[in-house]
Amino acid sequence: MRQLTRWLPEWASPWAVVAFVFGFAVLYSLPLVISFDSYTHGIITQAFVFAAAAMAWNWLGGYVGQISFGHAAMFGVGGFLSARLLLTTSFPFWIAWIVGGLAAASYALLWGHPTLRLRGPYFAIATIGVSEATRLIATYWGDFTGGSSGISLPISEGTAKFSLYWYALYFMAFVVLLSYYLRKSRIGLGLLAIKEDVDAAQDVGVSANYYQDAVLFLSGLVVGVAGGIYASYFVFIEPGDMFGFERSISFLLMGVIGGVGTILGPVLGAFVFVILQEYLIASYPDLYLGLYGTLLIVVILFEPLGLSGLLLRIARLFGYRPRVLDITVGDTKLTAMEEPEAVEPPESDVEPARKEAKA
Amino acid sequence: MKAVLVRKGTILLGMLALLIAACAPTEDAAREAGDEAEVPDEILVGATLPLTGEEADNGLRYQEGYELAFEVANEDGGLEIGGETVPVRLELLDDTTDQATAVNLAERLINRDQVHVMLGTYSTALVEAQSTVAEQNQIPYVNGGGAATAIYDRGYQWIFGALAPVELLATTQMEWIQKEQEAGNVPDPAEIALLWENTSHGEDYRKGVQDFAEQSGGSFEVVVDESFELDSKDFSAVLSKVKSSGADLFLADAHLPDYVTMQRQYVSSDLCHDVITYGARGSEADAAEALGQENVNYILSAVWWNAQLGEQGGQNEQFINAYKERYNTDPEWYQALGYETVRALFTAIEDAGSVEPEPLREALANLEMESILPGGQLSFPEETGYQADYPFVVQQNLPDGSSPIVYPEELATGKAIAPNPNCEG
Repeated sequence: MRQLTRWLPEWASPWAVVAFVFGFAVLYSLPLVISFDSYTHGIITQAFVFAAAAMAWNWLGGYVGQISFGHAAMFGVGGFLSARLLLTTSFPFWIAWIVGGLAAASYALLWGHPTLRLRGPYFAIATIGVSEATRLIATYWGDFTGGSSGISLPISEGTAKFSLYWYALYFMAFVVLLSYYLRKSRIGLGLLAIKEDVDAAQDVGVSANYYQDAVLFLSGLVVGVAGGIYASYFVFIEPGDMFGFERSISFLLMGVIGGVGTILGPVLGAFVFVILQEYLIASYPDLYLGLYGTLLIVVILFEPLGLSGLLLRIARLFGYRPRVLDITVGDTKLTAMEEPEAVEPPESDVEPARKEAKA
Repeated sequence: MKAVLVRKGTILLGMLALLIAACAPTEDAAREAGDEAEVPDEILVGATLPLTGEEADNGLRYQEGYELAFEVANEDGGLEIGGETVPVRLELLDDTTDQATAVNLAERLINRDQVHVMLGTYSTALVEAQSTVAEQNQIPYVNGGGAATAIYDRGYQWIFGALAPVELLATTQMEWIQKEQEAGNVPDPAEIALLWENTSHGEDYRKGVQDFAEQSGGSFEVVVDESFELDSKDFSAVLSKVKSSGADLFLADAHLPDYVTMQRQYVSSDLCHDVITYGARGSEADAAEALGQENVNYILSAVWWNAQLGEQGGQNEQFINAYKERYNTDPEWYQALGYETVRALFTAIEDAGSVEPEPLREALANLEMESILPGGQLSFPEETGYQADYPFVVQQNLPDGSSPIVYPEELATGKAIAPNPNCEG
């Protein structure tokens, strides 16, 4: 373990690496060991894709504190561009996904650069507008999106759909690593500083514009690729589903259910969301949206860190205590819990510095 | 000591992962294990319908047709296959008028519930999405709810449609209008305001009207050609274009929720045209109730079936009587198509003598059965991508609440009224 520590950058924990490798190995071999039906196989594949998208949403909503209701726009752009590339070119599917992701990231930057100057509810409202405008444009751009009917992709032969499980797993694993890096590295501290107080963060040398743009670009990239994989999985997509408000809300719900601002919370949230949806929608199609609403209220009222917070409480019962880190950003000293709680800036240190800077 | 333990533990975990990966069964092996016996104890048919959401009214109508057909089949013990009579059971789920849900539920029915065959959902948009799942899983999918040619021109081999193409619907309506034009009841040349939902259903309708107009030698001209979003809430923009165009004919293609919303706004905009149609919609009793009978009078619709076909006796009469006995009301074309779709599937199962996918697919592809639908025959020709092709009947709403067939003449049960009397005075 000491040798492993020597190879790793200072922000990476050797235990986290071991847990990651173990988790990856288990998920990789799971369908090979347990021969579950292809419906269950597909549900887990979807959960991987949505886990990646929810983590990407969480970078903006959880790490930076900019709640987005517009991530469906990137999901749709990535999905439709990938689909069109697969229909009209002979690109391998993974190139189509990446191109779709890059287009989605660029689109995110296009509307995000001006709107990220807004904070709190103003930013949230702007994202609703962007999402709805994008949906309408996509719906009426029939030549590209197939209009309200959507477009069908070629149905691949053999076990191509079966193998999407592993592509989705690689994708999710990559996003977990990126999520960990963003949270634990110096960039993550900058993001948390922006979340706590954007003015104070600027005062200590954190470029809020640069950091927020970069995070939105990365978030759009991942959500766009997720849209591409989703299109390949379903071989049929339509604007109402890809760009719809419900899609944006689903990313938010996954984050909130799992734990906003945590690294793995959105993964938990995505699994709960996808599995609940699949099993409830067949039996109680009218109730499942109400159930999500209730779940949201319960989480916000009783456990703001969602399932991650719940797991932390259970871990504490068994004697776990999160490591407290003292970190210095510029001249400001921050106190951070290792995981999953967000950075808590000591009032006495940050507040006077901010007031002084404003004065 | 601790470091050594961790290292050994990590190596062991790695070896364990490799071992389980090496002895993993393949997908094919898992599927082979689940193969069915040739004659099952029960034939399980999976289906989803929009029982809630925008298309709930029509989904419930299809459900009535489906359930009646299952009840009739099970009255004699079920279907004859392999020399045995096997009961049939319908596993019906609500797809909430949502394409992604329709797809997911089809996956569930096929791969988890292991249904033998799938019945389709209702409305082109849902069928277009859901049918990809059946094709991927190579399981026969018979639907009576998707009419657009886009569903059938994808080269799919497992999708069978009992609705005749929408393009033919538009052509049939135009033939009737041309007949009225020749009789002097519609201006010549006539200007058309054409509105269509931006789905493949709407595109087919648009193509049918445009092609007819182009070939009419100047008798028809499309002066407004606008699309609208499915399940829209506001049509004021397109209707104001229609108003300013001064068109003679108002031809729209809309599903039931859009028809009700658009017609409400059409009436409140003081619009009136010599001919008004919403494609296949217009005669629905609940629409008349929602809009008021006076606001749906003289609307023309071309449909895949009309209850007045029962006056010819035969299978139509049997269906109508069975339906009335169960539901105490007259069926509309939705219930008839639901019923006939199931009957086509059951006939094919008996022809194949099996519910195995490949023989059943073959039986559906070669099906030739007597039908309650106009023309009296139902088949799924390969040249149309396994979409049925039979004539439409044109019907017109009258102030007494009836909708007699006005075209084609050999099936007509009433006389057409044109131009629209609502526009007089």
